[in-house]
Parts: sequence; structure tokens; C-alpha cells
Amino acid sequence: MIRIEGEELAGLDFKMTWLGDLLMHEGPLISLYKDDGEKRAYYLVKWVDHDEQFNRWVVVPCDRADIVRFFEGQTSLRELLLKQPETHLIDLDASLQIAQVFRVQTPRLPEDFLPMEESFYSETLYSEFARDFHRELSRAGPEDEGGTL
Amino acid sequence: MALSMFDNLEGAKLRFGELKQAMGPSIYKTLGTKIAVGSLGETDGVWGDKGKHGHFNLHPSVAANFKDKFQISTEAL
Repeated sequence: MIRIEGEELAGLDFKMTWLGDLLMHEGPLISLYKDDGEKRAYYLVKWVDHDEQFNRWVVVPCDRADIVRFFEGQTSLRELLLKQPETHLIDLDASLQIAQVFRVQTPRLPEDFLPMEESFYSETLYSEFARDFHRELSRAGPEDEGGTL
Repeated sequence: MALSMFDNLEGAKLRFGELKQAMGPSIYKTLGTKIAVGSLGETDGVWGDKGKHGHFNLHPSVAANFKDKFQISTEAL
């Protein structure tokens, strides 16, 4: 795998629940998770690397406004990722168990892991789940503080 | 798991270009850098409707042997 610069942790210090896969190609490439504790906090989990044993994913924290801006084409996936000061990298084994966790300063992520400049949301590239979630967010509106989104 | 197929070479290249935009250069570590070209027959599996760029998912049959039916294209993605 590509060498990374980060601090190895015993595990993730937050819990998240899978909501759906945003981008698929013979399996998930980008998935959306919800924070189990903090309402309206999300994680984008994007595949970045692999070797014979593990698949490596970057876990990007984002809030509801970030997700809306991405779906509305106001920010690219690259911008969304790079605006976070730090991210986590997780290595999953074949049984999808977390084998290693690293905390990484986002600017130190390898360029190969980053989306390209034109990584804007496209309904035709992303999944049906992404399209439905986008519509759900749009219906809920920006002031939906009491809702579940 | 389904295999990603396209009914035309240009469509495959466009799709991989879009995936590279979203995922970054490391996507080639899982997608590879070349396209294989061949013809599918009814005994090779079942597939669904075609989508954008002629993409469709193939669920291969147990008897499918793509090694003999497909050849790596010289065109890079």
C-alpha cells in the first residue's frame, strides 16, 4: 500500500452507522455513515487503497450542510475532504473487521487518495441511494432541526 | 458479486474517467488500467438493463470462462 504519515490509534473514538452506498462499481467505493452520538453529523467513507490483506478507507467527517453543498454541486468531493483538518484511515480485513486505524492530518494524505478537481456530484454516476438521500435532504429543508436527517 | 460490463469501448473509457474524477488516481489499483474486449453468450450469465455509457452488471454463471473469450485491449484507460 502507499505509505502514509499518521498516528496509529487503538480504534475509532466514535461510532457510526451505515446509511447507504453513494458510489458503486463492483462493490461500494464511497459510503455514507451517520454518527451514532451527534445528531446531523455524518461520515463519508471512501475507498483509497488495498493490498493482499486489507482494504484501506478514508473516513471524512462532515455535517449536513457539507452533504447538501456536495449534492447541490456547490462543492466538490475533493474540496469537502480537504476542508477537514484531520481524517481517519481504517484498514478492513476480508471479514470487514477494522484491523488498523490511523489519524492523519488531511494535507498529509497522499495525492493518489484524493478525488480530482472536478469531483462534483452527478446523479448519473452516483447511486440510487445517493439520489434518494439528496431528495430527502431537499424535502427536509435547511431548518429541519427537529427531523432525523 | 456482479461484474461491470459495457456494450462499447468508448462507454467504458468514459465511465472510468468519471470514476477517476470521484476517486482519484488510486482507483486504478482496483480497476486496473486496461479494458478486456469479448462477446458474451447466453450461457455466460445473466445481466440487467443497460445504463449510462452502455454499462450493465453481469452475474456470471458457474460455467463461464472469460479467460478464453476476452482479450486485453491495447487501449489504456
